[in-house]
Amino acid sequence: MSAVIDNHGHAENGGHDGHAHHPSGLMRWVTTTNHKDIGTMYLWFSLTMLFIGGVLALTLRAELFQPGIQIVNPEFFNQLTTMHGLIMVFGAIMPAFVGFANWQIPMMIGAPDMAFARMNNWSFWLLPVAAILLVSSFFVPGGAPAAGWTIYAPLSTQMGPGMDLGIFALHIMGASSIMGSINIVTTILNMRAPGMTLMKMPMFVWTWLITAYLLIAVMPVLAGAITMVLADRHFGTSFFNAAGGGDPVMFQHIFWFFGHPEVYIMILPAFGIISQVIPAFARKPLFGYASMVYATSSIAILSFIVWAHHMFTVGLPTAGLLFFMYATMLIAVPTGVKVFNWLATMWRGSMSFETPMLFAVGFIFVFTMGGFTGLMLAIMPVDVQLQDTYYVVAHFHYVLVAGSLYAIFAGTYFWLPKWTGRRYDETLGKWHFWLSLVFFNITFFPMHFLGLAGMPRRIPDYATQFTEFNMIASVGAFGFGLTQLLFLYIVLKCSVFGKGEKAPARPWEGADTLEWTHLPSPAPYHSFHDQPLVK
Amino acid sequence: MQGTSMDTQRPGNMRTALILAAVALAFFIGIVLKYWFAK
Repeated sequence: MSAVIDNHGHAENGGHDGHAHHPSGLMRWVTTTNHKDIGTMYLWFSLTMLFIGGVLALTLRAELFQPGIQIVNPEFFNQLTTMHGLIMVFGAIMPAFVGFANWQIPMMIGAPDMAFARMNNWSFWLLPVAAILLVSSFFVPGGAPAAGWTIYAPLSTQMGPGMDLGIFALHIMGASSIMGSINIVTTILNMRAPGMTLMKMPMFVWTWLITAYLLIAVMPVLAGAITMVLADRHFGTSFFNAAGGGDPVMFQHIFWFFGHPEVYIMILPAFGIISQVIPAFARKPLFGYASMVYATSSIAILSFIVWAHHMFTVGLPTAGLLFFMYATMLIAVPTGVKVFNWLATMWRGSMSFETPMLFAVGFIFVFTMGGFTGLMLAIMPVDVQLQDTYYVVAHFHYVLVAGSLYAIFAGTYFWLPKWTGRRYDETLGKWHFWLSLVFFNITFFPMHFLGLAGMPRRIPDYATQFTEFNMIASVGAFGFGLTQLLFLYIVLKCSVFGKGEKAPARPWEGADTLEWTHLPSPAPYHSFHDQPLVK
Repeated sequence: MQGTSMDTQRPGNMRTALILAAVALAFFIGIVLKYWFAK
C-alpha cells in the first residue's frame, strides 16, 4: 500500500473508548456485535481447536512411533486421521483467518465495524455448536467419521451416525463461513474510508476480499455434496451409489471442486499477513503491489480449474490428465510472482528480525518447499507413484503448517501489541519460532523419504524399513506440539494477564496502515467514528 | 446491539449481501439439481 495518510493529528484521534458501554462478564461475549470482541472469540476458538486437533495428531504419531499396533486400534486410527483433518481445516485454520479479518479489516480500511454486526455474532456462535457436534461424534455408536477429511463416498454413505454428526457440523460451519464472507465482502466494498480506492487497500484486505469470494463460490458446492451424501444415507437416493446408478467418482469431482479452492482459502489470507509483515520489518513499501493483487486474483481463478489433480489415479481421459497437469503447473507462475515480490521487498531493506519477521521469512523458505513438492505432485506420472503416500502428507503439511500456521503466528505477534496494548516477550517469541522451525522440519521432512519409499498414508501399521524415519517424525511432532504451549503462554501473558511493556500506538516503525497510524494501542473498543481521509 | 461501533449502515450494504447470498444459494441448489436430473 502506498497511500499517503492524513493523520488529523496523532494516533489517539481515531479512538472513542469514552463511548464504550457494553455488558461485562459472559454476556459481553455472548451478545457482542463488536468486531474486535468477535475477532478475539474467533482467535481463541481456533487456538482451542488447534490444540484439540494437535492432541489427535500426537496420538497418531505415538501409534506410528514404531511398527505394529500399540495404542489405538485401526478403526479408531482412521477416526483420528479424519477428525484431525476436519478439525484443523474447519476449526483451526479457517476460523483463525476469520478472526484476523474481524479484527483487522475494519481497522485497516477505516470502518467503524463490520457491515452486518448481528450476523457477525451469529457467524461466530455457530462455530462452537458445530465443533461440539463434530467432536461428540466420537461418542456415538460406530464412532467419529473415519473416511478421511475428504469423506469420500462410498465410505461416507455407509458409516454410522457419527458421519451424520460430521455432515451437520460441516453444514453449520459452511453456513458460518458464507455469512462471514458476505459480511467481509460488503464491509470491504461499501465501508472503506474516503479516498481508499481498491488499489490503495492493504494487501491483507485484498487477499481477504478474494478469499471471501472464493468461499461464497465453493462452500455451497461442499454443502451440495454432503447433502447428497446425506440423501444417499437416509432418503434412498443413489447419487454416489453405483448399485443404484450413481457414481462414487462424481463425489470426488464435486468435493475437489470445493477442495482445491479451499486450499487457497487457507493460504491467501496467509499471503496477506506476510505481505503486511515483510514491508514493516524491511522498512520499505511492498514491492510490486499491483502485481501482488493480480497474482492473488490469478491464483483464485486458476483454483477453479485444477481440481482433478487430486484424482489422477481414478482413470481420467488422457486429455483431462494433461489439462489438469498443465493448469496446476500454471499456478506456480502467480505464486512465484508473490515469492519474488516478497524477496524484492526485503532486498536492500533496513531489515530487523523480530518474531513476526522471523515467522514471515520462515514462511517464505518452508512454504516454498511445500510449493515445489506440490509442483512435483502436479506431474501426473509422478503423482501416480506418490498418490496416497507420505510424500503427499509431507507436501500439504509444508503448505498448511509452515504456510498457513506460520502466517497465523506471524500475524499474531505482529498485531498483539495493537490488540492487547502490551508488547509480547520477544525472547520467548524467538524461542517459539526457532523451536517451531526445527521441530516442524524434524516432523515432516522425513515424510518425503517415507513417501518416496512407498509408505502409504492413513495406516496405523507399516513395514519395518520405515521405522527410523517414523520415529524421527514422531519425536519431532511431540516437540512441535509442546512448543505451541510456549505460544499459548506468550499470548496469555500479554492478553489475559496484561503483563509486558506497554506498547506505543506504532511499535513497528515500518508499519504504515491505518490501525498503526490512527489508533492507539490497545485499539479502543470503538474506532473510526469519523472516518479518516486517505489521500 | 451490544458493542457495535457506531453506525455501520451504508447505502448498498443490503443489496451487496443479497446478491452474494443469492449466488451462494444458486450454487447450492444448482449442484444438487444438476446431479438429480443427470441420473
